[in-house]
Amino acid sequence: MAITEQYTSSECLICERTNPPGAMLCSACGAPMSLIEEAAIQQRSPRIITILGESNVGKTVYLGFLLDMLSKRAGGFEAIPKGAYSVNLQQSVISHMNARQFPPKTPLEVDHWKWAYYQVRHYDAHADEWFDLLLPDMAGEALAQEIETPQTYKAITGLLAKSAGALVLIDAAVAASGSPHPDYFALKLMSYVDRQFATKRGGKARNPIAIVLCKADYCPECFDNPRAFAETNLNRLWNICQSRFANVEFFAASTVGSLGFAHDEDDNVVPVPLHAAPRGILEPFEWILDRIRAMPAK
Amino acid sequence: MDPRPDPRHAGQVTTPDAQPEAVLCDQAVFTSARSPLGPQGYRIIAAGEHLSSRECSEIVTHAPSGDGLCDDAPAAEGLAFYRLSSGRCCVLHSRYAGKEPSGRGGRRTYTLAFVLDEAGFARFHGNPFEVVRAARSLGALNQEVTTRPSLPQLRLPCPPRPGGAASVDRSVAGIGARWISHLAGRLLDGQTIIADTEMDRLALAEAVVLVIPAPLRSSVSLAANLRFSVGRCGRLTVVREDVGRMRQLMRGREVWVERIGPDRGPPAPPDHPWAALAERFLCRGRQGRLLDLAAQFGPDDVAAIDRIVAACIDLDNMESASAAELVDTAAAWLDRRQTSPLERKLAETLLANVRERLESAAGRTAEEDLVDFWHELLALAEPSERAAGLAEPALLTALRRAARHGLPTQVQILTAAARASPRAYRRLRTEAARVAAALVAWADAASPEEIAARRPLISAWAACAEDSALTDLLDRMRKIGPAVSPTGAEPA
Amino acid sequence: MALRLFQRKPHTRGPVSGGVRTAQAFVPAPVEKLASDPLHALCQQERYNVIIQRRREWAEHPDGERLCREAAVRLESRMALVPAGRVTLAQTVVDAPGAPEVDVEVEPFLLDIHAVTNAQYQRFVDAGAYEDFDLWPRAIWPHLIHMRDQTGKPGPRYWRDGRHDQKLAMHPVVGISWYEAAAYARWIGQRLPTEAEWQMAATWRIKSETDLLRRFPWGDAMDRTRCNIWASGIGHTVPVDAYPEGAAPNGVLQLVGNVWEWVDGDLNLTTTEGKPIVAEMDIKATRGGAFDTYFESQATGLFRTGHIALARLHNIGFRCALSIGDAPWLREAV
Repeated sequence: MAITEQYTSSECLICERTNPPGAMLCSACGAPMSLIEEAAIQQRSPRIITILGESNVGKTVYLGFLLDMLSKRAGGFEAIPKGAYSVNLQQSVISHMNARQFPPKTPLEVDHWKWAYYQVRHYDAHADEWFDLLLPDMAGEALAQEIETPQTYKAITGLLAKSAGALVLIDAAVAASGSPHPDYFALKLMSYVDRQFATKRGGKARNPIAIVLCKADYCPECFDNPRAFAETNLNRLWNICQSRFANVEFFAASTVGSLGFAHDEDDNVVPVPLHAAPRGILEPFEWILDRIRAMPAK
Repeated sequence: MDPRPDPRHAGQVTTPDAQPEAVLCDQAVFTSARSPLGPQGYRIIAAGEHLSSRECSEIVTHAPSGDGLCDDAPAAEGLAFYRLSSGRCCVLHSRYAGKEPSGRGGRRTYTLAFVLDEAGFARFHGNPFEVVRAARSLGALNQEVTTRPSLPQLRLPCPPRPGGAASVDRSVAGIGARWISHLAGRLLDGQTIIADTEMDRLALAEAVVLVIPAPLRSSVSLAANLRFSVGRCGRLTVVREDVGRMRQLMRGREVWVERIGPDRGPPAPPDHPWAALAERFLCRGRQGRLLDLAAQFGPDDVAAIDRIVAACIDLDNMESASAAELVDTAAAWLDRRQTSPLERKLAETLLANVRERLESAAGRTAEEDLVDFWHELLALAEPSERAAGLAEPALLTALRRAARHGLPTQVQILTAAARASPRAYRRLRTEAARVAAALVAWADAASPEEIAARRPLISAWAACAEDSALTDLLDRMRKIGPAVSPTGAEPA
Repeated sequence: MALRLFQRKPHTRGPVSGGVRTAQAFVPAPVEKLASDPLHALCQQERYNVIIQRRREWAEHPDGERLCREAAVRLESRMALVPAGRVTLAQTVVDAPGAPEVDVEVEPFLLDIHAVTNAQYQRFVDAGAYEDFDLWPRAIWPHLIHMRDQTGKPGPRYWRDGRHDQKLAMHPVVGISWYEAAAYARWIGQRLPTEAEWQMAATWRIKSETDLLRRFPWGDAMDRTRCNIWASGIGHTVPVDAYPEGAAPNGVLQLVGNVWEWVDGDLNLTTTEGKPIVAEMDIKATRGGAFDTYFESQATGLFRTGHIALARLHNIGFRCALSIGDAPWLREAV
């Protein structure tokens, strides 16, 4: 069914709520209405890959580098941003990291999130097959609140309901230090994702989920064997993935080559990315895209 | 946060027979904090145990995150007010509290939430700024909660009288009465407003709230001096933000978005009668009166707002009204049936003022105009006993003045009064008895010619008044000269 | 003829994962049997400056004089002279115009033309250097037990059973901490270059009236065909003699790209507000960028960064230097 038949021009792409013509943001979930306009132009539904992770795990930096790499045709990909707004995220991340700063925290307010809408194809594999991808950068605190009280952020509820796949980012450095917190958060997150992705009672969710162990530069053994690392240091996550998800893979990634610290005027510790050395950024994305390609479009 | 039962006891604190002096409210703190246990970033770090998880999630969606205020100043504050889905009222107070602890730059925003039921909120005259002032008086705004996960209920002292006059003064000086009333008018018309202004945004928001009748305030959700976010928009949003961008974001919604200020030129006069009245009062420096009136509104008064406005205008006009205008005003209000308590109260005040002004006018009217004024008063007094009571003090004043002119003038006044409403004037009857006695005494000393000259007047009065002294006088007059019929007609 | 302003990039596969080849099987380098004669063993180990430093020991050796001459020739062929000059070291993490800087005078010195290779480092490991405590600062002795390869044997992180992958023999050795680099340099009778010396070699700011410097060993503009950084599209290390077009004027190769290089010195940067930048242990300076350096601005001769001293990463190597005063063979040659 052509996108123009599937959606009316005033129906939100994320929550399908009808909005008045000309609305810029959906009145129900806050997602930009330009997404549905773009989808209508392309005459196909975008595949939504949702980046999930707790506050400060590195979603924005990861996504910024991923988009920038795709724009540079890394890994045999070609990516075209749809709309100038799609470039805002990567521009902000690259500018800050180049200046040895982390980008500012993503605000909780949905209308301040950055949404990246890209057309992507893989030269090496399927040169004629273009995907429309929607990659929203949400605030980790909003996700935490949504997990705690579902339907708080309808944008997140809607995104997951429509996601073809998800990249779940976990802080490998904190996990490697022995803290159980990343494991517990991941468990809650995957429980929530299970509820959104599950198709029938008892059946495993089939949407591909890439578990990305971030900040792995802090614990290089993570790169050696991400699965082993997860099984050892994130055992609760490991177990729920085995039980409830049919299509999961583990990856290690890092963006910072070396991290220093300074203090600000309030004696807060300010992390300083001394230089950027992105590693393991493309592999999870490539894997998810392969899995999504095999799935029928929603 | 686990779901909790709706706490009915978060309301008034009273002794059994006394007026409530404090209101219990629940608290929560929303800010960014690092925790050794793991969670990071903006979240509710402490809350009262009676706040439900749904209430907490609504606080999260309304409260600002990093760099959440429109101001850069370290002492900047912001305020928001919303009705939660539970029906309770939530007031958010936000301020800066140092740098973002994650070290990612930006200022940390620290928000205190006060949640109270509608009855409790009404004790603050429906003004969320009063709630914050009450909290400030307890020192609650200066503390910073870092580790305590559970917060006790707060006992907020109720203000003895409505406050906020300073905000109104500041706003009138800063932006002008027209803008304030214009905004209030739009809110009263049911519109949603986003105003961008450089002036004191908190003062402006409070001024607009205070101008609105008290029962309507709890329906005006607001956000003042908080960084603009579509999800945080209330009925009234006062920010410092690019209007073009806000208009873009709000496209498709029925929202009025405008930059306001003295440099923008005055807006159109407000259509809503209460807002027009507000402008009138503010322009005339009568803020206190306006706020007092707005605070006096009860739930039953809202439907009568048009008539209340009319009463206020008439009251306001009274100072410069002529006697004739006073009489017309009084006549109009005597005819009307008041349906709401405030309308009734205003009508009574108005009529009392008329009575007083007429009495004062009677004391100042020129001597030669006294009798004519007397007749106008009688025209006013004619319809009813109530109307007569309205005119009576003036009539008495005129009568006392007329005493200087001698009995004939007094008799004229009393005659006309007696004809108009023989039973209406209790005090006049007392005067009538005194005048009658004086008349008799005069007749005793007057010559027959003098009596004859005054015969028609005396006869006319005697025909109206029931007074034994007058009856005796008439008998004597008959004996003196041409027969005087009991009706006082001239003899044939 | 139309000026071609933009050339479409070839559709080659870009970098995917960093550094470690996973697809091909590990082939351990063969074990070299070391000569029993100490002088011949030193030659085998390519510890040429040690041979020369201990030349008096070989006075009676039948091959002593010859091998000392050969050692000098070998050193001369594998090291290059960096002339005297001046370098400016940025002091803040954001190197903006007007930011604090320090000028350092640099004396002439000798620098290895290539970074130390896996094959060269193999000899260090085979000599039992990880158990030779004289080569290590006392404070590091407890950490030596962690300096193991994938199978738990002493050696760089990515080796197995104390052997490097034969296919990577000519690649720069990686997975070694600053202490391991310094120990190797000591073992072969050399040292690590200071940060100022390294920058001098990469920017070639010789003393002259014009006081010119270059951002890269080859000139002022980044050229991805002259170095191995992220944008070059390789995605892993290359042999140390690749990219001859990227050489400095004195022939030193790959100062920019391929691997970061440990230098002798702590990274003493501050924020723009003057707050020192620290880590959980000393940050040792590293220079030059690596195959996975994403920002070209971070792969220049001027860019200052560092890693914690015990970091054993897939993209850090090193090369050795020698003071003129410690190179008698050079004076003799001159």
